[in-house]
This record gives sequence, C-alpha cells and structure tokens, in this order.
Amino acid sequence: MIDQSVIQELKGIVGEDNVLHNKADLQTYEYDAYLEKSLPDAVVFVNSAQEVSDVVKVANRAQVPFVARGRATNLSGGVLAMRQGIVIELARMDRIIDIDIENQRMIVEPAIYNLEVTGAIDNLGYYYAPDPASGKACSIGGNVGEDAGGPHCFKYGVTSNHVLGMEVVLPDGEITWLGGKALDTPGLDLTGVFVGSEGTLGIATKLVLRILHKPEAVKTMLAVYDSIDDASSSVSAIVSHKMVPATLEMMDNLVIQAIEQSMAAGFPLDAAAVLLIELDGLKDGMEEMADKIVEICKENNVREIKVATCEAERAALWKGRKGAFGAIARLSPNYLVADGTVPRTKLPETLRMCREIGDKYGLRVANVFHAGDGNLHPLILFDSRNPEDKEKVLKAGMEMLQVCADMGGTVSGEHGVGIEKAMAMYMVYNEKDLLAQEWVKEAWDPQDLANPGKILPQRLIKREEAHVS
Amino acid sequence: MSTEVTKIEEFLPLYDEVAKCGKCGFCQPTCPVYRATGKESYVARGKNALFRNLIEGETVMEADLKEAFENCLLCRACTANCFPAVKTDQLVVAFRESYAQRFGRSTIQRWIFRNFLPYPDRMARVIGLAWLSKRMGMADLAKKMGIVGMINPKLETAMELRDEVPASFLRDRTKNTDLTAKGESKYKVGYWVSCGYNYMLPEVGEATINVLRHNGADVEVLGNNCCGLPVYGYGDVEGARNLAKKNIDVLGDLDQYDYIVSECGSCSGHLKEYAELLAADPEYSVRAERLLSKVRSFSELLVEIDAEKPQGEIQASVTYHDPCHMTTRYQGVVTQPRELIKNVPGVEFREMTESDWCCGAAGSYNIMHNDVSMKVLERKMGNVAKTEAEIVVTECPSCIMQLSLGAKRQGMENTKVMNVSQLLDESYRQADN
Amino acid sequence: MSPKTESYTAALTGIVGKDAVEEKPQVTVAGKSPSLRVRPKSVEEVGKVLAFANENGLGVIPTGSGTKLETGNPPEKFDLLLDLTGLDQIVEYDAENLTIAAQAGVRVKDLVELVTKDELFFPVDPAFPGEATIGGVVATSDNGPKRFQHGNLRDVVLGVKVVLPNGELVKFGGRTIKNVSGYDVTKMMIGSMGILGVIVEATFRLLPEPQREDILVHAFPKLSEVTKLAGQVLDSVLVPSSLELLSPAARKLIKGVASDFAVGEYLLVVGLEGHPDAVVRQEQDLTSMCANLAPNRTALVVGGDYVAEGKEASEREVTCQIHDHGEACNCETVTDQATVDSLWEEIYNLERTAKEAGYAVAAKVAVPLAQVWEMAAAAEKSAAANGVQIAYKISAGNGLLNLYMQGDNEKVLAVLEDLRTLAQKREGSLVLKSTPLFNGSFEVWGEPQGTHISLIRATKAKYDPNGVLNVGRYVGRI
Repeated sequence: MIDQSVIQELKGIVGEDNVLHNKADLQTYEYDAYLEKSLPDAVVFVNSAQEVSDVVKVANRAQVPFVARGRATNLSGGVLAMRQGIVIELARMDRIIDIDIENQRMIVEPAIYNLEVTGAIDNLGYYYAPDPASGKACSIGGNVGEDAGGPHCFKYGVTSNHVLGMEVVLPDGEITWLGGKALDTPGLDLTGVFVGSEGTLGIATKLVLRILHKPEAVKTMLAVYDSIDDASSSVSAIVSHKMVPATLEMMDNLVIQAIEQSMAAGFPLDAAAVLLIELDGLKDGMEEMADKIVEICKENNVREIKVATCEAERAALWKGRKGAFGAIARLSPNYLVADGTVPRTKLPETLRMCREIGDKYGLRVANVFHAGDGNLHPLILFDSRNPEDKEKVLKAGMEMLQVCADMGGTVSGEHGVGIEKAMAMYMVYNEKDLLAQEWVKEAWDPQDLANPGKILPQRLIKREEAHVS
Repeated sequence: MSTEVTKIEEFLPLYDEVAKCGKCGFCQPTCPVYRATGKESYVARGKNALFRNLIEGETVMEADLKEAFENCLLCRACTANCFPAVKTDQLVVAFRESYAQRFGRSTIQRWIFRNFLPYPDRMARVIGLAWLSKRMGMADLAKKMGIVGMINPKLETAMELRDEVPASFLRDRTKNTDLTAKGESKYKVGYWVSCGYNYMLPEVGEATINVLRHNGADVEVLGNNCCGLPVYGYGDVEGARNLAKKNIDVLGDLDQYDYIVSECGSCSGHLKEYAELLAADPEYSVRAERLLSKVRSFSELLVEIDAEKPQGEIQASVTYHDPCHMTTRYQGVVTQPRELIKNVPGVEFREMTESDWCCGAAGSYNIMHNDVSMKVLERKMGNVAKTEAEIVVTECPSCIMQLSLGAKRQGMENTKVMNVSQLLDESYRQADN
Repeated sequence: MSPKTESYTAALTGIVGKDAVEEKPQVTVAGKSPSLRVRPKSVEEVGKVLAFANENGLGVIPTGSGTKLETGNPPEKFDLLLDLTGLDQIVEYDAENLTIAAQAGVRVKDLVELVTKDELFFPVDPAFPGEATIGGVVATSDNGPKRFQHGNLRDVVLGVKVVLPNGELVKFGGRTIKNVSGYDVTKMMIGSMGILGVIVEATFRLLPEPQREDILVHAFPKLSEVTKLAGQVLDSVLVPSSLELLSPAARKLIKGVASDFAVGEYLLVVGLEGHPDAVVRQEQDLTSMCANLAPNRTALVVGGDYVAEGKEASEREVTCQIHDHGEACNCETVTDQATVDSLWEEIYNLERTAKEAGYAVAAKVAVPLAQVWEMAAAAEKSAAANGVQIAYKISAGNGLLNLYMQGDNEKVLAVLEDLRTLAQKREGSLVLKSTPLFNGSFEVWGEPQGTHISLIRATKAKYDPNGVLNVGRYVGRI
C-alpha cells in the first residue's frame, strides 16, 4: 500500500476528485482484456503532460511504480499494475492538437480512439492507416504502447511505421520530444524504440501521426473455401502474381459460426475458411487485378467468390472481420489469443499443429488471422469460471507460440508481450539478446518505476509474486 | 458495513450473463457517461467486473459500489455495442434492487413509490400544489418540498425550466373536449397519458390527440397510472410490477381498442416490456402479451395507419433526436419519426451525428448526477449545433425538457424543441386555415 | 610503429589471419588515420576483434565500402578501421515469403541482382548502389527517392544481428513483417552510425517487382510552379514512387536521357510503378497537371509495356516519348530498360558527381513535407547573398533537401547557419554529410537537445561502456 501522504500529494496535483483509492473504484482498474488481475493502490486522472510529469515526480520521490492506462483493451496484460502503485489514467487526454494536411501529419493526445483519428480527417480525404480490429475501442496511445497492427498492415505497415514523433514524460518526470513532423531526426531513433515499449519507458502525452490520402478505389472480395489449405495456397499465389493487396484476412469455420451468430455478416456457415481480400489504389487496372485474383482463387478450388459491389456490402464484410474476436463470446465466455507470427508459407502447417494442441487439451480453437503477413490468432475457448480450464489454456497458448517460434516466426505479432508472453521471449531470444534489450529499459528507467515487470522474462513479476487482491 | 465476504446469492441467476463479458472495452466509446467522465466504474465493463466480484465474493456490497451502479442511464448503448450483448442494464437494476433491500430505500421514497405513483389523483394534487407554489412565486418552496423530484425527478427539472406554468393538467384539459375522429371514424385509439405530458407539457398531448383525430381516430383518454419505468429504474422491481399490474387492470378489456398509443417513448417502450417484467406471473403475463399487441409509439402508429400527409408548409431545418426507448436498443422505432418529419412540406431534414445517443436526462440521472448529466447533454447539444437545424424533434417528454435546457444553456435561443406530434399538428393546422 | 601497435597487430593477426590486417591504411576520417585496417571474414572474427578492442580500449570505426565514412564529427580515437566487406554472404533468402537476410558486407547492387532474377524488388535505393553495402545502408539509414513509396530503412528492415563491443553476438527482431516481441532495438540500430554495436547481418522485407516502372520528366522555369505541383500531387489520389526535383545546377550534372533538354531549368523527375494502366493514367494526369502550371515546356515519359512473355526483363521495350504542351507528339524513340535505370543511377550518384564538379560540401535538410520548398528558396537566396554556388535535389515526398555547395569556407558556413536556423524553426534539421573543411567548427548534427541527448548518452553507456565504437562522432559528440 502506498502512503496516505502520497495520495494527498497526488490530490494536490490533480484535485481531490481525480484520485481514486477506494476498493470499489480500484477493482475497475485491476484488469485489461487479458486474463489476469492486479489491484493498484491509486488511480490518478491526468489532463496534461505537466500533470503526468508532476505525478511521475511524486512516484519517483516515493519510489512507487506507475502504469499508464488508456482504454485498457490490450490482450497481454500490458496495463496491469503488477507491483501495485499508481495507475495514471489518460482517458481524458483525448484531444486533437493539430491537423496538418499539407505536411500529412496529425498531432493527437494518447487517449483518442483509433477510429476517431480517421473520423476527424475523413472529410478532408485522409486517413490513418494502422487499423487494429479493435479500432473503435482502443486508443492511439495504447496502439503506440503495443505497436498495434491490423488488417491493412500487410501493405501499409504497423503503428511504428506511422508514428513519427511524440511528446513523452520520461520515467523520471522530465518532459521531452522525440522525433517530430519531419523525417530523419538526427540521433538515435528513440521514437522507434518507444513504440511497442508497453509503457515501460515513459508515458507519451502527444503523438505525431503520419496520415495518408485515401485511395481512389477499393475493391473488397470474399472467397469461400472448403479447406484452409486451399485458402492459404490462394494467398501465396496472389502474392507471387506480383500483387500486394491491402489486406488478406482469413477466418476459419468456428470464427465464421461465431460471427454469423453475433452479427450475420453473410459468411456461409459450412465453409472451412473465408478469405477477405481487399485491393486499394488507383482505379486503373483494379478490375483486371480483381479478375486475376478471382482466377487464382478458382485455380485453388475456391467454392465461391463474391465481390462487394457497394460501400454497404464492403462494410458488411468488414464488420464481420472486425467483430471476430468479440463474436467469439457467442461460443464461449472467454478466450485466450495466441498472437504468433510465422513466415506466410508455414501457415497451413502451423494452423494444423495449433489445432492438434487444442485437441490434446480438449479445447476448442477458433482462428482468425492476417494471412498476408503470417500473423495468426488462434483463439482458445474456455470459461474463466473454471480454474482448471484456465491453466490448460495458458499451457496450450504457450505451446502454440513455441510452434510459431519453431517455424521461424515470433511470439507476438501485434498484441505485445506484457506479462502473457514474457516467458515466451525465451523461445525466440537467448539470454544475451534479452540482456541487450534490457539495457534499453535500464537506460531510460534506471529506477524501474515505469510499468515494471513486463516484456522481459528476467523482469517478469509472476502472478504468485504479485500482491493479489 | 460487513468486511466478511458474502456472495450475493440473488445475483447468481445473472452469473452466466456477466461471465460473457470478455472485457474487450467496446462498451466504452458508446457509453455517454464514460465519454463524459472517463471513469471505468461508470462503464459497462467496470460494472460487469464489480458485479462479477460480488458474485464471486471478491468484494462486498457496500456504499462505495453504489456510485458505480447509480451512474448508468439505462440507455443500453453498451449492450447494443457488445458482441455477446451483455445486458448490463439488468445488472444495474438488480444491483439497485438488492442494494435497496439490504440498506433500505429511504422511507419517503418507498412511501412515494407505493402511495403516490399508483394513485393519479394524489399525484395530481401534490404536483398541482407544487405548481401553485411556483406560480405564487414560491418556486423555492416547491423545490424544497422535494416530493416532486422524488416522484419523478424530471418533473422537478421541468418546473425549474418552465417559465410559464401550465394552466392545467392534460387530463383536466381533455375532460370536456371533443375526442372523436374528424371525418370518417376508422379506429378506436386509447391515448396513454404520460406523466411528463400530463403535468408538464399538456400542450403536446393536445397536439397528439388532434393529429390522431385528424387521421380518423376516436380517442379515449386512458385512466392509467405512471407506467412504472422510473420506479423500475430505481431498482424497485416489485413496485414496478405492481404498477404494471394495476395499469393492466385499469385498461380492462383491451379488445375495445384498435391501438393504445403514447407519444412518450419511455411509456410506449416500457409498456412493451410489461410482458417480460411480468413473465413469472401466469395471469398477468398473458394480459401483458395482449397489451403488447396493441401498444404503439406515436410515430409507429402514424406510419402503420398510413397517416394523411400534412399539407401546411413549415419552412425550417429539422433534426431528430432518438429517445433511448425509441431506438433499436428498446422498441426500434427509428425510421418512422424521420419519415413523418420528412413528409412535412418545406422541412429540410438534417440527420445529426450520434442521433441515438442518450441526452442525459435518463430518469433520476439529471438530478442525482447533474454535472455528468450536463456533460452528456453538452455532447448532444454539440451534435445538434453542428446540424444548424432550427427545430429539434423528438418523441419523449424528458428528452424535450432536457434538450430545451441544453438549448438554453448553450445559448441556442432560436432552436425550438418539440414532439413529432406537435410538428404534424402545426402543419395540419396551417393547411386547415 | 610503436611497440603497442605491434602487439595489437600480432594479436589481431592471430584472430583474422595475416592477409586480413593492414598496417597504416590509406584512410583518413576528418584528418585522422587508423593504425590498422582489419578485415574479418566471419561474424565470429568480428566478435573476437571487438572483444580485443574493448579490452584494450581501442577506438574502432566499422565500415563497408566507405561511401559514408565522412559523415560525423571527427573521431575522438581511431585505432582500427573495421572493414566488413569480408562478410559477404547471403544468409537466408526466402523468395516465397519475401524476405532476405544478408551479411553486412553484401553490396546493394549484388542483392538487387539476386532478387531481380526472381522478379522481386528490394525496396531500398541508397546512394552509390554499386558500392554501398547492406551494413552501411542500415547503420546510416541511407535511402533514396523511392523511399516515398516504400518507406525508409526503419520500415523495411525486419531484424538485425549485431556484435556488441563486448564481442557478444546478439539478435534483434526477426524475419516476419509483424513483430512486437520485446523492445524494437532494431529501429534504434538503424541509423545509429555504429555507436552501439557492429551490425553484421540484416533481414529485409522484399516486394514483388512492380509490373511496370516508368519515369516522367518535366521541366519547370520557376521553383514556385514546382512547389504548387508538388502540393497538388501530394494532395491527390496519385501514388508516384518518387517525386524528385533537380535544381538547374544539379540538372546540369545529370548525363544521359534527360541531359539535352530544358537546359537551365528545374527538372522534376517522377517515378511511377505498378499496374500498367495505373502507370499510364498517372502519366496522363501528371503531364496535364505540369502543363497547366508550366505551359510550353516539354515532358519526357520514359517507359512502356513491360516484358513480353518469354522475354528477359532487360528486353523490355521502352519508349521515350516527348510531350509538348501536355500532348504526346510524334517523336517516340525506342530505348531500353537501361535508360530508365541509368537515369536513376545518375540521381543516386549525384553527391559524388557534384563533388567531382567542385561542390565540396554536402548537407541534408529534413523538414515537414511542405516546408522543403521554403528551404530551397531560402537556400537559393542565402547562397546568392553570400556568393556561394549551390546545386540541390529535393525529395518532395519526404521533405528532404540534399544540398551541394562550393565557395569560401566562411561563406558556405554562413549559408549553412542560415539554413539550420530556418530548418529548426520549421521543426526540422540540417545535417552535414561531408565535412572536409570545417574541422569541427560547425556541429555536424546540430545542437543536441537536453533530455533527448541524455537518453542517447545513457544508451551508449549501456551498449558501449568502454567507449570503443565511433567515439565522438555522433550527435552531441557521443
């Protein structure tokens, strides 16, 4: 427990009403979208970089750890206060600071919802490319913390490719700028290393985003398959025909079932897999490319392929994909998602092995994945009310990550490591590699106060060690 | 307050419901209260977590939890945006009920719920007295009496808001007026008297009755009580059931009406939910189902009977605010009011962003949590302002009052707020003149 | 030769063999020469060499072909030149999954040739591709015009292997496009100028070769017109792969296809890639946009249908079409793919051509996109006022201005000061790329910023605690 005097100091900074410390309130800050819990000592609502800085300085003086929190939609335990301390709640810092069309940049505060960034510039003909499926609910700050991806990242890259600078409150409370609107800032690419650091290197309070002109034309297709292998072969064939679609998203039968129960997106219930393909760019040549894709899919035994003829049809197809994770709740109360990535051609084999792992533990495994970049999301279904189930699920998840690592892939594609995959880091890195990563943390946060116990296995605070409420 | 962990047994039937919450956070962006405050305990995910903790014995029923469950508009936006569609509003009502049972509801509140709401005459007398005191320049006294706010907090706000006091209640006004169809008589319509219109905005009810008569309806003003929604919202589910039963009794033989209509979205919406509320009662559930087949919201009925297109021109830009109980989250009457508005000659209809977001009135909310309610309202008025519409149309007395308050607060003096029926009535009248 | 150096020579010879150690090599960096050049042939040897240097406190500068050796402050200590050209292996080439891992000493040109055979595309086009090596390109984050479409090194490098000053080999990142497993140290290594470790291997993302690649060249009499054009193009649906502008002086340095028209004017060079229909459509749109702004100027479209079935890529039929007043006239000449390639070559090698022509100082200005034009105008104005001759190239899609200057040292310095002040005002920077003249009198990277520089310093202290690698050459003399 932190000292009452610390609470008083915090209240002095942000005001009485903006510090929460009764148990009822704290229990709503002990979780994120992962499966674990850890109760913080206090929650502080901040409204400016200066307030963040002042709060962080108090934490430094009192040697109390702190965790930045936005919308807490992450899937790996990234915002759990593993060593208690202060949750710095950024939810109210969700303003747009600058829309700079001529420089194709936008500056926003961290808690703005991902989709609302594009929403603010849509009428100007621009958009923000990284599009995690949770875009409606997740914040840009969280995207930066986890280096979030999304369906369109196959062509356009992930968050780190689109965040060019930021105002950061460092772990000692200093406010500084990294990067900026211009490219190629002299010095180390600290922006690059901050993105994906899960709040362990400080707290971003403003973000400079690259915004792109909307493509002239978009074509969305849904290909339905009786076998996952055929769907996978189609993906490889499309890429080898010199096409780089904006998205290549696959969903397996169980996911299709869930989506149809949840929102009736029009996916055939008996299909083994559906492939959502989207082309974007100039309208010239797009028809021909679409025809070519249809031809390729046919060569790979597609059962049927529909091309969306209007924006409403396109939106319906995407609604299915974007709601896939949530829709799983129709099948089972909880799921664990193993966010591994493999070289694309290893997908069919990896999927087969993941299914076998599920069978071994008697767990259902649904799959939705970014087929273009080999990022799979086996969703292992269970009911968290059953503790045995949970244990089995965690084991199965780790085994699936091991498969991904063995295939030459990695253990997290876009959800972050958090506490969930920290031990899995050993599957892809040896101790020396991890030590060299730890130097980053040591250089930025020698006191280990910023979101301690995350990412690195050598620093992981396991649940049994954590103070559990 | 007990520190001993006691699982809340009466919540167990909702365990499956709450266990569906995967904490994905999709409820956040659509929750008006969360958007205004950013507080996790105010959003469905937070409430679900606390509720589950209560079931699992991870926390105890105590005063600190009350705040979380008080801060809900029951607008169901969370459920509508939830993949497994967790019915958080049911959890909220269950909590409120359980909390009141354990810690007691204030005796005066209970007394009012049981002794006033089911008795229209007593209601009329009290509220009449309150109006009277305001009319005599004793507004403060009216407020101090507090009783009005207790009965229905919206009424109290309305009193503060309204400069001229209605000369008489709707029920009285309709006593000696012609309620028969103009022209050919085609339907027998039971007009449900909502408290909001009866006591605060009687002119809306008059407009509604006019429009109904214009479309061949013989109108009968029903002798109903409060529909029971405010009581339900307070978590007095038993009180709400009693009111529902009493109302079913009052309405008597439903076959005498072709339709029962209300231009209050909350009333029509809640009447449609009587069947669910009374599901456990073998006798009343059947009668409630029968009622369900007769009840229509005003816009719904007018479109269903293919109402006469108004001819009188109204040169104005108009936007529409969906009352929560009219949205797909409740009775799903969404296209009809828009169709009616667009049919009025001269009207330029402008859709507003987030038209189906709660305005923040929500039962007791705007009284008990005025600051948050006002923030919710600010967001709504911002969206209204963006349309630059001259008239905001809606179909709910509390929305009308709340939006009027919003217009006043934002200095949008020229923005008129009215019910759909008033817009139609005006157009009909103009054509008649 | 001091006895100490002799003992170093002996020890290093023991590690890499006699023929891989050269005493007193003919290399100078800002006036300083190393005692030894060491050319290891394996990663293990690099590790041993660095471990030795680390133990003995030697100053090491890693290099490939040495094309960017000049960039940076004068070294504080410089004992060994670590020549990485011996690490010349392709480690793993996975054409199907569009990735390639190559050792630091592999030349960009060789890598491009390799992947082109499989109709793949290496999305990096640095200066001097004939000599530049993978390691150098990653360490300096040097990229060219097509970066506009394909991103910079940080967008296409998936992972690196690095030998740390303590001699340990570590890896960061991996070989998948998406990877958030741990701290993204890969990004920090890119452009780190070798201050943290020696990059010995890098894995890149590859792309399918574009179906067609053309170049459109258009002359403009005034800078203000090109400024407008760039604004229009950037705010349109068009997706050129590059958008380069050569100043009249820079244009004069270019040989080949574009050399003999529109002399004395600005030359816009637009790269276009993709589906043939999309390329042709953009050519049409662009020529008319250009003609609107600069009427009565000629345009050159170099391109044509891509390789016919059964033919080699080099046999592509390329036409060189001249447009007058925005309309194609009947003066097509058949040329070849080499013409397209050679124009790019000219642009990639511009810095050297400029140097050979007497422009001794090169600098790079980076500002927010739209501000680059103001920078160019300011450069012209300041140069004229100071009597300095300049040539420059603008990468309009990236907000970069590459500036080549000749004149009296003091005058050149004055221009640089002017431009740096303005660039910083516009939230940008000016970096000196070649520094033969100033001997540290002008900060190569600009004035270090407080907190930012202390983070870099703390990072350096963790990775290179004994101060072995490129000491004193980086931002803030780190």
